Amino acid sequence: MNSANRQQLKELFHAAVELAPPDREAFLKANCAADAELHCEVSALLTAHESAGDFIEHPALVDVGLVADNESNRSAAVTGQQIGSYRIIRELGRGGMGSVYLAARADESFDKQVALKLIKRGMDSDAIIKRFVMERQILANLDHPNIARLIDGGTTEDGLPYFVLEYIEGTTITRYCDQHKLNTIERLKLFRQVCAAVQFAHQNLIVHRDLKPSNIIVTADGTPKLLDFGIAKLFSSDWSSSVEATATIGRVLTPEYASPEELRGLPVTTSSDVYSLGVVLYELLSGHRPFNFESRSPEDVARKIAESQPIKPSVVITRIETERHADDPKQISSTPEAISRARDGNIDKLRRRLVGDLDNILLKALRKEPERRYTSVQEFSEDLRRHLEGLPVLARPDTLSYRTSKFITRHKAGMAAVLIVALTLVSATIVTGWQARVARIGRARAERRFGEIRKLSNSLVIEVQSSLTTIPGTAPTQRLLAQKSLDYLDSLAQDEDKDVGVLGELASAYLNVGSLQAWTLFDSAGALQSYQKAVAIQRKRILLAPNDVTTKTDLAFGLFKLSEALAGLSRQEELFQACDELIELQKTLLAADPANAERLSGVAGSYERRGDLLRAFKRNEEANADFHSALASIKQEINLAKETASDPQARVNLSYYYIQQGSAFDNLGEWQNAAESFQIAGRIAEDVYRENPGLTQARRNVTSSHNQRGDALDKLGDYRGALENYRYTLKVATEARARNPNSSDLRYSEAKDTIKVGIALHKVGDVSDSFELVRKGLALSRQYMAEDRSRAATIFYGTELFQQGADFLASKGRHEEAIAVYQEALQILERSAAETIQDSGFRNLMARYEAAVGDLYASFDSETKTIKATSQGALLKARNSYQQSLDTLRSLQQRGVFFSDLANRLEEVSQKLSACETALAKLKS
Amino acid sequence: MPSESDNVNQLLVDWGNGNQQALEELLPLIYSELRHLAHNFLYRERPGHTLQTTALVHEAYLKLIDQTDAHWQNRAHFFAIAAQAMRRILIDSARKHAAVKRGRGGEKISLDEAAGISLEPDTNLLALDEALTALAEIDPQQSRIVELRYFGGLTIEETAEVMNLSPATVKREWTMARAWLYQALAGSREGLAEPNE
Repeated sequence: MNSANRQQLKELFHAAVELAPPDREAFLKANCAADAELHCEVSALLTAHESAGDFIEHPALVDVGLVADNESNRSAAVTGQQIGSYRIIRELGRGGMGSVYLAARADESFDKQVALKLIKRGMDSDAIIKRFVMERQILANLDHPNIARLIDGGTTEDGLPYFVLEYIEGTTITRYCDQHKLNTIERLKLFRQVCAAVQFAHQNLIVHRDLKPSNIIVTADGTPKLLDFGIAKLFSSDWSSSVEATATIGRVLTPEYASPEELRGLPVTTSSDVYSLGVVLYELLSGHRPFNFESRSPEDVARKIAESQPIKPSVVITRIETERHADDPKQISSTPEAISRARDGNIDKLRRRLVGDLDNILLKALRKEPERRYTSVQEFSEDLRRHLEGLPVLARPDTLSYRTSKFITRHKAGMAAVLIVALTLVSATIVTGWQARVARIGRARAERRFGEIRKLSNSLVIEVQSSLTTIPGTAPTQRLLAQKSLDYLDSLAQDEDKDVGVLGELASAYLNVGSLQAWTLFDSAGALQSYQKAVAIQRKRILLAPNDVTTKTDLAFGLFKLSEALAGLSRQEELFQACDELIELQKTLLAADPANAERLSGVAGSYERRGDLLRAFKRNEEANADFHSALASIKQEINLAKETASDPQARVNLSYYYIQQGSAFDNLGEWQNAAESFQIAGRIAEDVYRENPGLTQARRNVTSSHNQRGDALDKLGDYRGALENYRYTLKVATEARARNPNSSDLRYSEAKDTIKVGIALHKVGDVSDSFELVRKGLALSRQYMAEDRSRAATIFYGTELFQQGADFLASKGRHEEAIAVYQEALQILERSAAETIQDSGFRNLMARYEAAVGDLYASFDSETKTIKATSQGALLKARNSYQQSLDTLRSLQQRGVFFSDLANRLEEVSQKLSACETALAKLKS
Repeated sequence: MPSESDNVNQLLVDWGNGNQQALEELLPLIYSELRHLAHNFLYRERPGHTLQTTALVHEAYLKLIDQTDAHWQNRAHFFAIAAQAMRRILIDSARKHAAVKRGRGGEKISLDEAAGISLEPDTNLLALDEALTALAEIDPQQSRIVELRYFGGLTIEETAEVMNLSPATVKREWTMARAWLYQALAGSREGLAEPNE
């Protein structure tokens, strides 16, 4: 049979099989009268079709009895059944691993309907069950008004897991917007609510990974709800990789909304959700997708997304496109008329609405490289808010620098040399070549050319530096690079450029180089100079754009960095000038918006910072005055928050402000007041937590308020009260960890609280339980560090717990045991320090612990500041430890690293060392 | 040491690039993995729990492929290969089984092989295999759809995804292929003496 015949046969069969059997013969007679053979063939096939029954309808493995097939007729069988206390009404949809049913509580009227998700029978392999249970677990942690809520969960009689969700009735966000003809502003506002939900998930360490219109349903009252966390991923390190791996199995990806990294099978992060949200917003605003695929073959989609840049939304809306939508196989034509009709406006108005800000914002969200997108959904949403309020947005159009930097990141180290040469050339050109160039090619073109060179160089500086810091052994190159970058920036700063945006770039470039000098090259004096230059430019920007709030918040950040450098160098006068300016600046910002709790928080924070620094320089009275001022701002903040504290999130914030107030009282030594503030904070947080057990922040505030109340009571001498609070904190942490057995944060809380309870038990006279709990706490700390050793913060927190345990043991005379704990901490720190070039934090802690070990061997009395040890052995060991500590401190000092107490500690340890030497000399004589 | 899954991934990529040799190397790997899974399944005591074919294939895929660097399109390739492998497994077993019944089996078969196909298939697999090969001659697309659906255990939607067709097309072609095969097998029943009847 030739292919033309085959095609004809197919068409006839397909058409005929759609007809009722009695009508088929007439159809065939009419359509293949001329070809008796064809007629015969189609008839035979139709007869075979009718008598085939369920021939090969079940997979071969089922036919041969290798596996049983319970999947077919499953839906019919389930309907009407009772699962747990729910009665199934009908099937709502089917996914890869399970089905979703509409259900209602069996013991009540059918009023309250829910969605019940049940794993498919036959799909219950271990891996799939694990993934199903993970989705349930994820939802249990997500209680947010814009996320479909988990109501219940359990296991059927057959042992299949299921869970029950809030049933959301509504339409997809795209359809809702079009049906209600929402204009651009209304669409943006609705979309920002979706952002809030996604951000909430991110705060709970969950990436959704499948954001698309069909997973964002808007209810009749206009509330968007996020659905389907079926392939979501926990991005904290505490989920085993096996669970994570299975999460991608068997899913049908929606390529139109998937980020480039996801399509390439690379790790997926919160940034991938930013990308998918970008696609959704692109579609909401322009009526088109960023990429129009000719086919949906995976290869085509992946290539298109990897290789082409999305068209600006303002351009795409004027085009006519035909595309196939993921959830609709029909071809859909998007015409400018249809798009503007659904968006309340003519096409020109719509285009002007998108040009500029919204183009830039969307293209920023849709960048190929995750690190070039918005750093968080919140930042994305904030930029939209700024746009809505007519403020300047963060997003800038992509230029040459973006495309070039892509190349750079791929060739990190090798590029450093090229960059150094380039920077030298560019600086020279800027200074000498300008006039000549203007004469030759005209001012406008010269400016444009220089603009490109400048942006390119700026991004080179930032890109290359940030990638170099993670490569060990590149310090000399980095030093040279920093110098060349500064030469270049200096030459640029001389240029008479009055553009606020350019100055902003210049200031942040100086801050970047400053951080590199401070934290990688340990050149504190150099860092200070760079920060000073940045701050000078930021001041100039405020003069140029006095109404632009971001110029002020940028300066606040610059001043903060400056104060960091000045504190490290103990340059008090300038330091406090910077702090004063920071406070004034925060006050100005507040004055412009006095009812803004965030701004009040900024003022309180700047007072607290100056207070902390004043206290570090032993200027306690002045410090107290600042803590009072901070307290006053916090009180205002509380009053403001009280008025609006209706929803759970606002009440969580309020409880946090009370915690802040407690800390402020604590700073002032007013323990009784502090204890009261913490108590109020605890009550509010507990109420919220009880009603919303999934709200992580509420739990944190519950534990933090009780913990700090315990501390305040301890200082008041109420040891039983303190113990009670610590025990409560431990209980909450342990319960939470039982629900999230792999959470590293909760492991830490449990370890910390166990040690605290242990120490408190000693104070009320329960000595044996006390030691037992402290040792248990140390074991938990060890486990905490072992599970997440690659994270620097884990090592800092974990060894700090070791220190607490060791200090307690030492204070009770168990010196040997305390020394052993310190030595273990030192081993852990040494290993971590050896693995990074940014090791100064680890080395600083090591110096501390080495000195502490010295103190223990020397039986150092901190009150009289004398050494009590008399045996030669102890004194020799003490001397060695002090010597080690001194060596570590000196090497840190030589690097010029910022630790404000470094000089004091150097002096202290060398005094102890010489006291040891003296004592040893006496023994000998 | 390169793991087996590295190897599978590379072979999948090669096959995707048109290297037929790679398929020849892949099949034994997947064949043995699927056999292993099927064997495990048969001897695992899990009352009330059953594995559907797709779940079986998913598990095989999971074991063979390192998910972190598997290219997205490889999953589609995998299902195609898995279906082929499954076809080969079942046909081979059916052939041996038929040989044993006829009493002319030259080779001994192991217990698990016998157990694997201990139940008499409703469908004459050997005849179906022949008919499917004949179908591939005149309509390779329909033949692939049957392979994926029947031997791979994929649903209409999954088949559509793997073959990059719309579900409606898959459904139409499947209906016709099924009719065609049924007709072909009915013909063979009349014309040929069945070895095991």
